[in-house]
Amino acid sequence: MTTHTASRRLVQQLERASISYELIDHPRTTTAAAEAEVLGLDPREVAKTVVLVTPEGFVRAVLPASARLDLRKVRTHLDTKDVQLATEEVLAGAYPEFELGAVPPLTGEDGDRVLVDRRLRESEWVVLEAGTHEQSVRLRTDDLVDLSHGQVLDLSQD
Amino acid sequence: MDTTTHVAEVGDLIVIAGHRVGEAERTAEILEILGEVPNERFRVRWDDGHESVLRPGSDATVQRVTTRPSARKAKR
Repeated sequence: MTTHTASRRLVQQLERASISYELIDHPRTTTAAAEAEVLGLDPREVAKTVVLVTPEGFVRAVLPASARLDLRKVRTHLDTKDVQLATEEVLAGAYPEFELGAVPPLTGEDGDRVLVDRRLRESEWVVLEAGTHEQSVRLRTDDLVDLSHGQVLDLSQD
Repeated sequence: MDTTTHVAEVGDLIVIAGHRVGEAERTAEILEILGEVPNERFRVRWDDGHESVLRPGSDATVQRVTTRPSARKAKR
C-alpha cells in the first residue's frame, strides 16, 4: 500500500496534528455511496464533501453518503441566497492537487470554511475520500470537526 | 493473551478503545511496521478482514497474542 500523491497532504496534516487515522486502499469509486459499498460500510459512516461557491469563497459541506445536501438550509446558515454547487471546471481549477470529485474536507491551507452535517456525529468514526477515488481515510468524527474547524449544522434534506 | 503493552511487533494486536458509551473497541493484527518509533505506522488486518495502514493514537494499546517471558515494556 502506498500513499497517493493526492492523499499525501491529507496524511501529513493528520500526522502534524497527531491524529489517529487509517488509510484504506480500495477499487476506484466515483461516489461516496459506491465507496461505502466497496468498503462494506454503512453509508452513514462514509462522508462526501460538496464544494460550494459562496460570496465568502469556497465552502466545503461534509455529509453522510446516504444524505442529500439541502441548499436551502445551507443558504440559511450562511445567510445568503448566493450559494451554488461548484462546477467540475471550477473544482479542477481550485483544487488541482485532488482528483475531480474527491476533495476532502481537510487540508485547509486555502482557509475554506467547513460545514459538517450533524448526522455524521452519530458515528464515532468517519471515512472520507483522501483526495483520490482509490484511497480513503478513516478518522474520528470529533477529530474531523476539530481539525477542519467545522461548524456542525443540519445540512441534509429531511 | 498477554494484555500488557509492549513495543509493537509483527503479529501483535492493536486495540483501539471506543470513546463513546456502547462503542465497541476495534482490533487489528500488525502485518508490517512502517517507519520508526515514535512515528511508526502499521499495515494491519482488521477483524473484518480488510487491510489498511494505521497510525494509532494515544487511545491504542498493543497486545501480544502469546506471552513472551522477555517481553519488553511498552512505549505506548
